[in-house]
Amino acid sequence: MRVAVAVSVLPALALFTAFFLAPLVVLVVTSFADWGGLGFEYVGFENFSTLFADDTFWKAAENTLLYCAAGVLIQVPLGVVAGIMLAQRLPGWRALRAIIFIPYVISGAAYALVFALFYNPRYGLLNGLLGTDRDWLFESSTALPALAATFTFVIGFNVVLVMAEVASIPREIYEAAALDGASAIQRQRYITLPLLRNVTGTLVLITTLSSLALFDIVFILTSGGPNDATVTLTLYAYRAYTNGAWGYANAVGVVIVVVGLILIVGARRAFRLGERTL
Amino acid sequence: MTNDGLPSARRRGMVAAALAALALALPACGGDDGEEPRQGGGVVEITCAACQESPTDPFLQYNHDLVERFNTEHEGRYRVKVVQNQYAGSNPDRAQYYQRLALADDLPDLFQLTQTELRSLVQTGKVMDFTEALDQDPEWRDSFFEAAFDSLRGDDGQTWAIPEQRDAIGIYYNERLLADAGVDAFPATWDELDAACAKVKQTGKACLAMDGDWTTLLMWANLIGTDPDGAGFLAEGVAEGDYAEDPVVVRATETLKRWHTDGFTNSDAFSGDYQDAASAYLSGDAAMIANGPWMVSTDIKGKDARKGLYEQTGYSASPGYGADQRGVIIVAGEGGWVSGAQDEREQEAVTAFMKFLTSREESLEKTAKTGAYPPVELDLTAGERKSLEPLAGNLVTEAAELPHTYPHVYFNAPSGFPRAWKNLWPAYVKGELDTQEFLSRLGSDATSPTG
Repeated sequence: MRVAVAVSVLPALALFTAFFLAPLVVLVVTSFADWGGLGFEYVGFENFSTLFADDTFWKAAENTLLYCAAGVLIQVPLGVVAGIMLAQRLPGWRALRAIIFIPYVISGAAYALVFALFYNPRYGLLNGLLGTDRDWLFESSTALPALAATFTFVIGFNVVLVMAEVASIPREIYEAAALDGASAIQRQRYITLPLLRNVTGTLVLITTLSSLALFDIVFILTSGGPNDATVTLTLYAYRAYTNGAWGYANAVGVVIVVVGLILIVGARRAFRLGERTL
Repeated sequence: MTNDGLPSARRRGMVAAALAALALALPACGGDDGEEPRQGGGVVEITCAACQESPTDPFLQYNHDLVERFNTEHEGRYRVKVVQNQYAGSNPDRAQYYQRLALADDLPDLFQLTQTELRSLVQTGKVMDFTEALDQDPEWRDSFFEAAFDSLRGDDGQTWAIPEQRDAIGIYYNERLLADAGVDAFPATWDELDAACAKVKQTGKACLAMDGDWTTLLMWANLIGTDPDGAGFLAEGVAEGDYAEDPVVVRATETLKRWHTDGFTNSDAFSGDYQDAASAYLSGDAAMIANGPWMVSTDIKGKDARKGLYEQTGYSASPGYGADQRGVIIVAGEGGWVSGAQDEREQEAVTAFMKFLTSREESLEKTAKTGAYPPVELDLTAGERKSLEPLAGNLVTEAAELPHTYPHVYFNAPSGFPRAWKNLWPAYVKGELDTQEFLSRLGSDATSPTG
């Protein structure tokens, strides 16, 4: 029996080790090394002290947190509100749900190219609509909000998740509240929203982590410029990697992992994830 | 008996059989790119990672056709196998890709790199040295232009690559747009260019098509290279140091910036996307664009080209700081064919391929198909010269008489230079950085791991 259990666990253990544990160990170990492919030398905390002294790293950290904030403060609330509204199944809700969901299934690279055309100062749609001639992506004052706008309004996943959760709330609660004289808005405010705590917390978690890993759209649209106005931690690590500073890039990777863990714990506590709502 | 009725002994047997099958199957997943020379029936097979078919890149397509002709001519002896990969053409991450392959001892037998990319790869000790092959065939060695190998040599005289091409890079201009603006001839001096651009701007067109990267840097190189003291910076100074300390570079940078702030360029001149500059010129929105001779076949005469554009297009050397101070960028030996072949027979096949691609017939074929000129001296007959693209051919002839020829900044700069430029250039032009700060940071970021 023990052998059978061991054999059945073996594939999963091998996959876990090969695709998660081993890379994580390599990431952590090499973050303490001067490693560029040609040589390998342990340098202690030198990579970390260098990156903490680098202004570009702090700019990247600041931008990454701003992208996270845009996701948590705009994308999640928008998704929750739109999800609650669509869950009322008003006329046309199916078509609207499909329209909202489509951007979510488009690949990041293709999506970025669409926005490169949208923001183009010579023939872009945005300047045409506004009657302006701004170079949205290459002026430091507009580059970061312009980039954040490309993903902040992609709420399809949030909407679908919220709609599924709303559908699981017993109708009797709403009927009882209506009998007690609660208005439609009051029913959503005092019944739906509190019961969406778990799913909202999950969305905050997912949005935060995806913002932390944001790369493709920034890389394609601005490569982190102008003057590092849009650079993210992942792009900062990528620059180091492509310049042959693999150990340094992995030190940035360790920072991203630690920040991610802190945010996960924070979100779980803030939303009391895992506790029953009903 | 277990729950599903299978005896435990039988179950253990099945598990053991499954594991054995897995153990047998796994090695087969390794593919056919093993370490051993790929020789079957006496045929030496080598791999090429820059030879895949491409409907959009005439250079890759030429390489692909070249391989087919090589395989036909050397049938039964050598065979080149095409390896598909996303780094076959120029790609900012190409150097890292080959670095990884070198560490895995899996470099292809044939691929292409720029001089800068090559510099870091040779440190792996996995790159083939062509010195012996060239010395064994003096006729082949002497067929190349003088200095064609200069930037491809190692510290101890090794020859790490066979040069790819030798091009004169000039400035395309739309004669009709210039004439509409009252400009009769392409400007011979930078002052004349300023005056011409002011006139073109009056017609509502952009004067200079730029992209914040390749085409912009070509004009920067022209502004620096046509200064009597500028060629040294492009050849060596750009590799290290504080660019702000060089007055030639400061003047060139400020002139280039002024063209943008004076409205002489297309409004999307910072994207870093060549297509933005190309489309401005090709659509008739801009009067000039700096680019290599290959642009004729890829864009100006391409199947999607605007009707009549080729007939309206001229190609000229760069203006200078005086009428007799014009110049042209010469790209010679800044990139080349590299090999990771270690086995003697594979190296022999690689050498045969290099001789084939630099033969007179193939050199003419490449020039006809791509517009790029070869690194070997062809001594063309009048008939052959006539059969080649005249725009590029005329510039090559003119270049021989010009006082200034210089390399493009792209090839001698540190590998981080293009990224640093794209990051800082828009901020500098839009007034966030002054010239000193821009050039100092450009020099330091270009060599920084995260710049």
